[in-house]
Amino acid sequence: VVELCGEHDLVTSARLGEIFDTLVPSHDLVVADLSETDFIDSTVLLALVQADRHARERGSKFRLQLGTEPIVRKALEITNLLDRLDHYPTREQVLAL
Amino acid sequence: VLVATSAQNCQILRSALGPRADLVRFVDVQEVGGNPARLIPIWADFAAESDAGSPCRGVEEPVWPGRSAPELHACHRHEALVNLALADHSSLQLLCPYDRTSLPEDILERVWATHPFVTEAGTRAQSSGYLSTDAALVSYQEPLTPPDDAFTVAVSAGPAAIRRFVASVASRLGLGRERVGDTILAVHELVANALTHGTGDGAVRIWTTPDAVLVQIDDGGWIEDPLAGLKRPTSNARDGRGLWLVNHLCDLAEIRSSPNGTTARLLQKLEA
Repeated sequence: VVELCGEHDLVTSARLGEIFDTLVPSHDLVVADLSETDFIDSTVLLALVQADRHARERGSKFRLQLGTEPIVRKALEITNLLDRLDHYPTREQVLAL
Repeated sequence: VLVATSAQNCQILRSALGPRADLVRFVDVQEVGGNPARLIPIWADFAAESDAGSPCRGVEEPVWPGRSAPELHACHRHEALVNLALADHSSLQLLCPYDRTSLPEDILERVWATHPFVTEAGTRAQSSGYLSTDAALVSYQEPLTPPDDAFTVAVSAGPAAIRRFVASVASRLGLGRERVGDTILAVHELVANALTHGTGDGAVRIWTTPDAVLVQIDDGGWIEDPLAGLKRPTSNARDGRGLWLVNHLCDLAEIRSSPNGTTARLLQKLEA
């Protein structure tokens, strides 16, 4: 589980991409926890899309845990990623098989 | 057939068509097209569905009585961009009705620049004033000069500081919490563009009018594709999400870009 606390943008998205690149090839499930996230921009959306694609390619899972911050949900919704990415409201649900 | 017009006109057409109305898709243009930039993807999706099969027809009425001056300006740009955006979809023909009885003459004048054929009083003729998309976009452009007393911050202050700035000024000028969040992300995407692809030496300015909060981002960079932000980003795309977000977070977004620089002006309506 990768917890994204606070604000994430082009300054942190490259590091985030590296973390996903390390975790996705060696785990059956990787979770990006956005429940404590206040802000994400298009570069973070791209890091999430790429992590999801890598997971699909190797037959593993990439999921989001979402909180209630409206702009985070809206950024995902407007770019059609709420439909594309598996997402769950709680840690228990996101970790369930 | 897809018809994008006011709810009232949709209803009139439905009654007139009777049972055949089931063959037509209706969209309330005042609901989805307040920012006319959101109409192009609707037509692109519709044309893409039909490209393999039969020809398709659309009716679009983006200009209605009561549109504000900045909205009318955005509609004119939209009508120029539609010609470019849908150029590849030869199966789609669009008809754009204008209500002569209620729209001012200067708005009707502009119709000739963006529509290759115009039908008046039942007679269809090639438009004498039709312009290329580029020419139509510059044919009607007031300079975008922010007021002297606008709140200002340099792009070089960086994304995080600019988000704080937008948050504090936009809420002080009267935007609600959710609209402030929308504005922060929209401005951030333009600032990020300026810092990544532009010269990074521009400024962000915010001010208010009686009915809206405006933000202008000026930068030396050039966004070469006039359709940037108007095409739905595909799920695997690297780019194209930033300006798409801007158009879907703002009530209006005008982005003027040339080799001399980019000016983006965003408008968020204040609740009455």
